Parts: sequence; C-alpha cells; structure tokens
Amino acid sequence: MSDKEICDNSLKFFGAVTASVSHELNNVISIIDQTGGLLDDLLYSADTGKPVPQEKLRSIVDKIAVQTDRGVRIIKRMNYFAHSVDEAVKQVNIVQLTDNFARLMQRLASQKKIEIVASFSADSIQINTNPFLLELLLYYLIKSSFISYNTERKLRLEINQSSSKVIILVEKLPDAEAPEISIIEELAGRAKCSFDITLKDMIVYYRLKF
Amino acid sequence: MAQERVLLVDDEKEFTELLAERMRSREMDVDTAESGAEAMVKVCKKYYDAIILDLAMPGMDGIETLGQILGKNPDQQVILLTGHATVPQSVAAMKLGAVEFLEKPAKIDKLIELVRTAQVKKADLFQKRMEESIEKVKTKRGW
Repeated sequence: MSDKEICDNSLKFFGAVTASVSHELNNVISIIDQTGGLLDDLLYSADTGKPVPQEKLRSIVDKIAVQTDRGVRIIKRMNYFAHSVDEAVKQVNIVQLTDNFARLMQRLASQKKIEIVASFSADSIQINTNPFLLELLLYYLIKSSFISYNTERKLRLEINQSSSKVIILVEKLPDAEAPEISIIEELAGRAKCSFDITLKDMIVYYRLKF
Repeated sequence: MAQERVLLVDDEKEFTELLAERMRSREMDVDTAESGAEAMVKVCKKYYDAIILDLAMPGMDGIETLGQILGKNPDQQVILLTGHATVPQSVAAMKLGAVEFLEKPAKIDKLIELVRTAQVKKADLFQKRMEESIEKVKTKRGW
C-alpha cells in the first residue's frame, strides 16, 4: 500500500466516522428540538387555562439533561479521535484509544445489528504507536464483519497484557469476508505492531501484538 | 375530515415518543415502530393515512422498508424524515415512491401539513381505484 493509498483510505475512514457522528448528533438535536416543541405546546395550553403538571415539567427537564449528556459524550469521543492525527508516533493509552474507537464504531455496527463488546485486562496500558493508523487498522478488521444479519450479534474486541507483550484481539464473525492481508500487514507495520490470526474458544480472532 | 392515522417509524425511541405525543395532542391517531420489521407488522394490521419513516435503521433499513410498504400497498403515502441522507439515498427513495423527503430536525407544523395532504391524496386515490373497478365491471358486463 503506497503512501497515497494510505492517505486516500485514511480520508475515507475519517469521512465515515464524521458522517456517523454527525448523524448521531443530529438525532440528539432532533430530540432536544422536539422536547422544546413539547414545552411550547404545554405553555400554549397553560395560556388557555390548562395548568401544566409539575411532574410533566420535571420529565421534560430530565429528557433534556439525558440528551445533553449524550451529546457531550459523542463530542468528546469525536474530539479524542480527531486528535489521534496530531503526531505520527507517540505513547498512548491503548485501552482508552480502543474503548473510544469501539464506542465510535458502535453506531455503524448497530446498523448491521451488531453489538461491539470490548473488554480490557487493565484500565491503562501505554504503548508506542501511530494512533490514527492503529484506528484505521482496527476499522479494516471490524468493518469486514459489518454484514447485515437477521439476528443480533456480538463482536468481541479484547486487550490482554502479559509481562512482555500487549495483544489486541478482534473477533472475525463467521460470515465475514477476510480483509486483504497485505493491507493489514502494511498498516500493522506502520502502527508498530505485528499481525496474525488465531483461534480462541472456537472463535477466529485477528491478533495485533505490541 | 376524519382523524388522521399516522405511523412513525424510527429507531430513536425517544424521538418517536415525543413526536407522537405532540401529534396526539393535535387530535391525530398515532402509532410508533422502532424498526422496519415492526412497521410491517403494524401496516398489515391497520390502515394508515401516512407513514413517517426514517432511512437509517438497524436491520431492515428505510429504503428496504419503503419498498416493502409500497409493494403491499402502492397508494400508501410515505414521508421520509431522516438525518443526513446522501443524494443516492434520496433519489432511490423518491424513485421507489416516497411522497416527500424531510430532514431532521423538522418542524411539527410542516409535518402536520404533509400528513393532512397525504390523507387527502390517499382518499382521492382510493376514490379513483373504486371508480376504475366499477368501470371495469361495467365494461365486462356490457352495462
């Protein structure tokens, strides 16, 4: 994969994430907009002599608070992701990066009825990597599993740490097409890790070793 | 005019509940569905003047749901209400037969206006189909 191809694919990846995040934020804004509209309806009703119950106002305030929190979380995730392009190689908390990545990807996965289940053996594991290319690599690995299913499925993402190495495991769902190995190896090299495929508890995983 | 019967289809439950509450306070008969599959079940059981449908939904997406609804009843009035649809998605939806395309957040007055227009259009189409059937019977019997 040439530098230009990396650049083109990075832009596509960034675009896919941005489109997904903006769609999710638009949903938050639409809910707040409808909540404001409901409040307006109730005020109009109060003007015509029908009092607004206190508990109704409380539930409206709660709805706005829930959606505001949701919006803030989405923006924080996007901001963390956007800053992953700041430096080519740096020390990062790979648990935080992977957790943020999994949450960003969840909306895209949900469209295919897939729940990303992330588990980590520690809260903080520091490694040297190219954070953006590692995210691009993870995207390639999970994207191949984003196939429409009739039933809901779980896709596991794990980080395990032993004394000498850190391993990220990304599940391959049974019907998923394998991503192009040469691209994965190229990206793994640029993200400062090695790549192989392993079987654990009868499940095929892609394995990234640092 | 009779009470408008509306089905809201969107996986954002909070959104459909709020919109349904506001439409009901305007004397509309509103049902909600969280998925294309649930919408199809409701469409098979009840007659709706208008269906307000989101495009991006898990599993059966809006385009597929639209295709199935219109496959069952080509006169069904479907209004698409979605986030940021791409141009190909919008073109595909209009080609399939969606009557209107709105982007979220949409104002309720606009939605109400579209639902009322849809109700009139559906009644006109029903009348036209009835007249066509009567004409067909007349021609066949030679009256």
